[in-house]
Amino acid sequence: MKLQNPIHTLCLILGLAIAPSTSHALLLGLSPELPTIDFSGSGMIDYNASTGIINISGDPSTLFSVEPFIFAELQGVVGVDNIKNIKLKFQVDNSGNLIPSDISLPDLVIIGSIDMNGNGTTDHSGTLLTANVMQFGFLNGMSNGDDVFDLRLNSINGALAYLYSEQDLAARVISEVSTVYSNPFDNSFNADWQGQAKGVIGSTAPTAGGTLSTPIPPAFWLWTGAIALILPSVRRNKNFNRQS
Amino acid sequence: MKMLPMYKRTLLCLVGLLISLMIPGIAEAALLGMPQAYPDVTLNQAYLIYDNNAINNNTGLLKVVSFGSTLSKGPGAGNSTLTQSYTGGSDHTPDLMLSIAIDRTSGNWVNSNNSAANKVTIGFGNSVIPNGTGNTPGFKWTGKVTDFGWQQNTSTNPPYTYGTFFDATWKFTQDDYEDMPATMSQFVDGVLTSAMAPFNGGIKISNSAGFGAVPHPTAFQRDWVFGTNASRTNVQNLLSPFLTGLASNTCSNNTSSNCISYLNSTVTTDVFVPIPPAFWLWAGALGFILPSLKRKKHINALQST
Repeated sequence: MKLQNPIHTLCLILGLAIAPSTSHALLLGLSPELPTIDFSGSGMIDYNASTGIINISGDPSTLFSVEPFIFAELQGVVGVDNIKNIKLKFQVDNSGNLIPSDISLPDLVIIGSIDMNGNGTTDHSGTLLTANVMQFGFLNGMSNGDDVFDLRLNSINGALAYLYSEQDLAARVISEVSTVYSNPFDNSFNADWQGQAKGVIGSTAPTAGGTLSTPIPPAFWLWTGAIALILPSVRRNKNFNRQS
Repeated sequence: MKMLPMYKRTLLCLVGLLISLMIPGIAEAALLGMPQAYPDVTLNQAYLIYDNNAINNNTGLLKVVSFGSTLSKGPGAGNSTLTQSYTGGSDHTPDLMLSIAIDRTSGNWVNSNNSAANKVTIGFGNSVIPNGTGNTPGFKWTGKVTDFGWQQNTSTNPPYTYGTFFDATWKFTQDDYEDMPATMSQFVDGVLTSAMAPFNGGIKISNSAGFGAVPHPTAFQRDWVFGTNASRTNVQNLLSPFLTGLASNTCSNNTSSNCISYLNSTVTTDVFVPIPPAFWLWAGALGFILPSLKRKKHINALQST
């Protein structure tokens, strides 16, 4: 196959070069549903390029449910230094693809205590929720630079696991451009980065049959479309050359 | 099949290339671009409600209601956070935290004098009634929204980004404190309103669902309710005090106006105030507010780890 016209070749090269650079939508598109646990703007997301580890940490704030109505504040673990935190740790390769972890060690751990019905008695204290990351998505530079990450988790355990029976967990994390962080995510997993993080964790329908589909980057579809447009033209060129 | 002449094919190719180069040009961000800063108030379990003709036939009102707030001094371990619940007992109604007036024909911010418009209200503690008779500590910050922006589409193809982010600026109009602990004695009525007069605070709202394929400015000419499971009746029942006046007919297509859509969406909202460090020396002080405030509307302070 040989492109006869150098302008066509230039168009092809530029077109293919442009398409991937403007395509960065790799979110899973998950929106956590009730019951939800949120964590506030004091959270942090940190990536270490040498290990591929992403750490998300923060203070879980509240648990919200409607059936029955629950709006309960997460507080410190009773008798253990009043600690509460959310820690989410998982590994990706240098393209941001999730590397499956040891299923026996949870990626998500939420620690704290909670009074579910507001009667002044702590109902659960200690490890409230654990889970393992099954899918990871990201979107760089929305909203003047704000980044979005979303995750699907399952293998749910902990004192609040019963709220998510037969469900997966979805987490949506927003990392806003902040005056505090000078090296946020820039669509690359080849170097360290760190940013502000806040977010929501909630339920989501499990994937059908428990199998996980790999998200296909939009760039792939752009490339496919471009090639589909170009190939007929090449074929016509070929036929034209044969005739001539 | 008849072949196009070479010059036409070349022209077609160049036009195609030109179009592909122009696509990113659609991404004219109308956001204000305020960077997040601390102290930061995260609105817990927030819902976004837009009434396209709430103020008059030209002006709509975007409201953010939430069931609680968390005040963060800063990121990382050792910094205090303070969470305030706005529900308790049989009170399951969220509080109105933000209201922003919007021109329904353009989506631009409107400097409206309507008493319901452009308000910021952040309350912590029971004593949110200024100079009330209660003796429990608390404070209330109120402000006026001074500008507003929204996320436009960044591509003509899905996923659409229009309406997935909003931001705003605001200024203090009043700050009141009641029975504050000695370690927070720098907070006296009006101190931040005066100190912050030259500065804008910021507001950032993310809304995962966005306006979808509804074009601009039609999106600002219809009513919306966004939030976790917003399409469920029992969620709408909780929001009912804020849904009065919204359209009753559901939007049937992307070009419909004067109708309503309830969309499941993850809504997160931050209100931040670049308070001078001299006023922000309450590391640990938040803990002093804790003991007396475990009532209907309570707060809690914790050291993060």
